[in-house]
Amino acid sequence: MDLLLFLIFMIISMFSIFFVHKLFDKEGLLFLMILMVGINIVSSFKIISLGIFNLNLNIISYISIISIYYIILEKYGKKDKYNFIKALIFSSLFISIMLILGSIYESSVDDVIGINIRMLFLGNYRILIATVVTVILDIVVTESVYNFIKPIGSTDRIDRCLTSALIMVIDSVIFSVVSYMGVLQINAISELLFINYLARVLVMIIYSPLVEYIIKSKKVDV
Amino acid sequence: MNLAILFIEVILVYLAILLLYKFFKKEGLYIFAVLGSFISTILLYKTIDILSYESVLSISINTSLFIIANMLVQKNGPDEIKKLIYIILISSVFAYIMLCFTSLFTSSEYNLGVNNAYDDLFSLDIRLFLANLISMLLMIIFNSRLYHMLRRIKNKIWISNILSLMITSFIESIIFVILGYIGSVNLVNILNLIIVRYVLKIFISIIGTIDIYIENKSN
Repeated sequence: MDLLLFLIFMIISMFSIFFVHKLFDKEGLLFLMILMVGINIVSSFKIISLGIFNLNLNIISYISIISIYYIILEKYGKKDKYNFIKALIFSSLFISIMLILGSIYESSVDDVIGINIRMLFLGNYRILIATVVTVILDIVVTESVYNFIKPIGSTDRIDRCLTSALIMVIDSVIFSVVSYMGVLQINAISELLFINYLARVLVMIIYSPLVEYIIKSKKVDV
Repeated sequence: MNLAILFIEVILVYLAILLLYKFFKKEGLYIFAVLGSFISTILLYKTIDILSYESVLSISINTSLFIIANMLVQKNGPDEIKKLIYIILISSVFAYIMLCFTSLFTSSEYNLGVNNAYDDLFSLDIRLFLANLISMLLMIIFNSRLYHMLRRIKNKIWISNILSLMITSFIESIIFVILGYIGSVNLVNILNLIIVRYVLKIFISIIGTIDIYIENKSN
């Protein structure tokens, strides 16, 4: 059942990238990226059980952000790339600050939701910091690593997967250690780190035909 | 304490709008609309006490969306609002569906307390969500027309902004509270919620006038 939900979640995310690009072009991709940044931050707090594997729920939204970035990088100009990075950094920080502020407010007597908001965002601020730092770090280094790998790899599609696979090693280590060190046992952290990494690479491979299709769907507009 | 946090939040929100406008111009205002819609979908469900009166948390974000609507009308005329409405509608619905969807997954045994808090938080009440969305979208449309009309008659930004928001905030507060709370709280509380929401929105709108002035000056 959870595997099916995971697949549906992934298909919705992939279709939203496809349709947003088709209907609203780069502006739509920028807005979708911002929504995905929000979903990525929030869903990073939940660890799900997928069969015998435990993994963080933000994998799909994270790969969606990376995929949108590859589309912007390959299909549009430098200005759009910088706008994307600026918007990503701004929205990550703004959403985090607003969630922390929202948690600090004292709830009213009848409120039942406030305790959950406080427990999630304030009680686990390390997950919030780790998510924001890793996604910004990934986006900032992606282009350099991609340009480094391009001459070595065979096709752009493989290069993109290799680039992400390489960056995600560091990303997964930072995320798991910063978020869960002292909260979970070392075995559990190692398991999460390894499964998260594998799942991200797998989802990236599934996303790659869509990214390739969108990049090649129109002439490069620089 | 809550009043002080609200003040800080309002300052941050308006500062964010100005920064986005500086970096992205008109597109920055749309970026804020997406951000605001997303944050509002999460924080809407928490109620807080401001000076011993109950209010929902997302009020500053909600009011700031009216301010960016006025900023767009100020520069580009009332036709620009159509796009803003679509962006708020699509962003809010997308965020709501995706966040509700994430709560359906079976939680892991790891960090179980956090997972349960997550599921409780994102079993989001559709009634409050719709009340917020409907009241906000209807009143943004109405407010932008009123603002545009007042600008043409009075030609003073602060009069147009405060007067249009005084009228639309009152109607918005009534629609939101009636759609969101009628039947679940008593009449006295309904009246309290409307009045507190209205007063807070006016206070937040007055501060927002500065943003419209700065945007107007930068042109």
